[in-house]
Amino acid sequence: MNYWIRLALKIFLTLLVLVGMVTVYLNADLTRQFESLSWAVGAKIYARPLELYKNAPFSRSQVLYELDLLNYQRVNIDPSRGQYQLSGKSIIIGTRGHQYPDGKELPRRVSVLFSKEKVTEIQVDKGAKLDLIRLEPLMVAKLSGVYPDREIISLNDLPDNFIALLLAVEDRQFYTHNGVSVKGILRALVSNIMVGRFAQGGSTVTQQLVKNLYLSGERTLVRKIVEAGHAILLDLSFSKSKILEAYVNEVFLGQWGSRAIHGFGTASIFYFGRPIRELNEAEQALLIGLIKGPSALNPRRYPGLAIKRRNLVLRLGFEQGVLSESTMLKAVRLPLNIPQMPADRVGRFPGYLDLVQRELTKEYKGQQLNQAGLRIYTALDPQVHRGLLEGREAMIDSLASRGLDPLGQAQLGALVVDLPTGEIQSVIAARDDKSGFNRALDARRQIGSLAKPFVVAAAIEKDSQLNAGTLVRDEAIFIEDELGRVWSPKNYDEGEEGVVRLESLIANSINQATVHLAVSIGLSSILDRMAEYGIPIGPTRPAASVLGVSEMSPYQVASRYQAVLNQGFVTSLKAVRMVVDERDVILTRRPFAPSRLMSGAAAAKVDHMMRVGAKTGTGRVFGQAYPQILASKTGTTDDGRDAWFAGADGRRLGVAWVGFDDNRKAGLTGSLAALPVISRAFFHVQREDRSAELPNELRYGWIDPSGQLVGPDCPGAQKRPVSSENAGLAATQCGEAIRESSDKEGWLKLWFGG
Amino acid sequence: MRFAAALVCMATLIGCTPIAKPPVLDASWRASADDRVIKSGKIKTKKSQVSIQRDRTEKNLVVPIEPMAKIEAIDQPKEYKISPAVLSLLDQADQLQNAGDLIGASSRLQRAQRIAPTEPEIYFQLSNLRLAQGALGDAVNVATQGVGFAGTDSAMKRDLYTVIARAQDGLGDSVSATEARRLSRSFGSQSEAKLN
Repeated sequence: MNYWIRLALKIFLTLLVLVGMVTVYLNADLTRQFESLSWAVGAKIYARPLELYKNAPFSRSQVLYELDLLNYQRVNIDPSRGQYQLSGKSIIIGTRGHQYPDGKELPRRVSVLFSKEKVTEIQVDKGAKLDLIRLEPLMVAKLSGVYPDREIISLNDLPDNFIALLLAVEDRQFYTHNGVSVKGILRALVSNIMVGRFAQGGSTVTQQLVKNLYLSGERTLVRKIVEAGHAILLDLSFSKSKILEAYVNEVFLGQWGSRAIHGFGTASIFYFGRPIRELNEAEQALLIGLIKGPSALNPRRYPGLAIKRRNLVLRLGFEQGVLSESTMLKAVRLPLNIPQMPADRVGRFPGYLDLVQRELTKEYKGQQLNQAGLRIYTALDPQVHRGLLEGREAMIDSLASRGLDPLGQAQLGALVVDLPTGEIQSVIAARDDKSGFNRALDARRQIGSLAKPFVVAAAIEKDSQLNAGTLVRDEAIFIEDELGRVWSPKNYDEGEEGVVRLESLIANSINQATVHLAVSIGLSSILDRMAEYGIPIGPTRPAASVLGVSEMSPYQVASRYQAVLNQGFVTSLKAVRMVVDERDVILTRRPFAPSRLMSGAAAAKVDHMMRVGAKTGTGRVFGQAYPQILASKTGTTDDGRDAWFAGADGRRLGVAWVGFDDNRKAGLTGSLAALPVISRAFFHVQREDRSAELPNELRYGWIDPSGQLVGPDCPGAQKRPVSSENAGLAATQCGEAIRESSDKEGWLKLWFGG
Repeated sequence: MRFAAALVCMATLIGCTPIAKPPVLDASWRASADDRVIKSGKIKTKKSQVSIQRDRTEKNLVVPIEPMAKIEAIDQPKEYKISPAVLSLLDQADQLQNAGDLIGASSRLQRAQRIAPTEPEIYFQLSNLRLAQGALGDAVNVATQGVGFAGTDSAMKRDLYTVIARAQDGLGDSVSATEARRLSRSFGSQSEAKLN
């Protein structure tokens, strides 16, 4: 007997130790996982913030577009955080504020006044003027961390009655039970017996949390017991508010493709596009109602069921004394107010985010990017992107209507760059947002006539006397190619002019004259210089490089055109402005560091030739001028396989390629297929004029149609940059007069400054 | 090319035929083996033997042609007025730089540059800051770009060239430094005192 008692005691003690060990282990595990919840958030990627200041180039409708992107709500009076009010010519905005790396932008109410196209003034509430504010930046993506796509909130971020309403519905005894509610279990048991299977949980908030965090699989009784055990442990180890905070961040509230929506912070952004503190009672009730069945009650798919559930929550709130009757009655009458697409902009900019990822992977290892609440600030400009998307649609429609793309397979890659800083404002990877192949970055195609500005720049660097009026032979020329074959380029229209002005070579894209120019100056030296500009020439050094057989991506083209249109300077193109960690420590910054790629004089002269191109040359279609584009170059390759366009105003450069992935003959042209993409890209931003400043070596001189440098009053003469020593002829010194005098000193003086 | 023709003319002086108008860049007259030009004109030959068949003057008399296009906005002199927003950022940058926070100063200046990318004062302060950071090559480039935006503002050009001169000193390029000093003086009296 004694023996049996001792044995039983031993077994009991062993079991006790085992249970103890399991408990300790579970507890440690729970604690560890539980505490990790607060930090395991992926990095957030932001678009550029909208800067508002006196004379900022934004119209009222542009600012309204931006507010709409940020899901600001329009109200009729007293806009609070996340709301705005229209008032005469101004917008009164309750800004949300943002912690920027270079200082905090406080949430406050400001009036922004507009004239037609500009901000004229910014006032704070009591009428004091502000120099400068910025709205919070649009969040465009989250990099997957351990818990991807999560908007972590603290209890303080919730609206006043939110927790009370939540507990009224989900767990009325939360503050008094020990993690498990016996009442709840009994109630569930009774109802399960009545329906004959295990259907109802009767779970407390703590149990639901455990289920979400640690357990998966079927609803079985065993699992239910383990869950209860965990819940009791959790309740022992942590305070009620800590458990509640974990719950509001963890609860499952929806699914969108591969995105699982966890937590009220995330759900609020996902369904309404606004921080949860800005939600009204009806919106709060909708989210709380979703706990019961995020799929079955999906408000986008089953709006009727979702409203029914929401109103049930609201009535429960009223019955439990959380909501007043009038609040409840008002709230149940409100519509759902949920857009069909996720209200945030996550996943809307795939081409751009691809670029951001690539920039980041150069500097960070995968794990570093998953760390603690990184914020990644980029130069993405939603207004430019919106234009580029419209341009893409226009291009697709236009090719279809011309019968050039009957199967709908034409592709494109395009980007827009801020010229002075080299910041990339938008990238389009393909004809739709699903394609994984980023043509703006990776499609290397022949650049065709896009090479010409570099040929001319190289020529001008060799001979500084060349200018817009320099005459160039335009007729057939025969060159032996690298394999000993005879190469004789044709002009696009197969015609030839005999003699053309240098600027026509770019403005009207004349092939034969380009070859005459390159050969006159010295083909070898031109090709060498082009290689230094970053145009791939290749080991066989084909003469045809001057007509653009080099293969480049739109990204590469943009990085080289920056020099032509930016006084000869390039910066490395970049999407990311800055990366900061949770504590505002700057991990990455990109100081402005320009470097010279070509001489300022060559750049300025070619720049002006591209201005002529945009005005009268190939940068027009059917006589239709595109007022947004002030300097441009088109490109088309053999049989219209590739259509290119590079166009700029005073601030931005856009480059687009249109063609087919299989490089088929397509009959495309740069001006018909690629130009509209870029001209549309600039549609929603205000045009800035190109600068009239010239480098020290140049002055404006007057050139007549025969290409001669003449005086300002001569017939048909126009202003062009010329070398300083050549400028400054008297008004009467016209080409005809000089020519008739047949005075050899006359033109010598003309060209060498006397 | 034109240069070459002119030099030949001047060398032969009076023996040279008067040319009625500027010459045309024409590869027919240039056909080095290096450049692989084998032929100009309509007759296609196989061998890379250069032959010039055309009378030099014949086609040079052809004159273009289509009218010159007017390029807008190159007549308007630039308005010089720094916006209050940019001024306030420049001020902040200045204060931060004086307090030794060069990175903070840099980020204010870059923010200002995004608002007013052609404002030379920003380039002046930024190049000055790069000088203080010891990034001398950047200082030269930023200041040189600033010169391009300075237009008729000689005082600004003078100050920018002074920054360039000092950066070139630091880089050990005394030739460029001297040239920059000369340019700086050509835009007014020295003002190194303004730089910190």
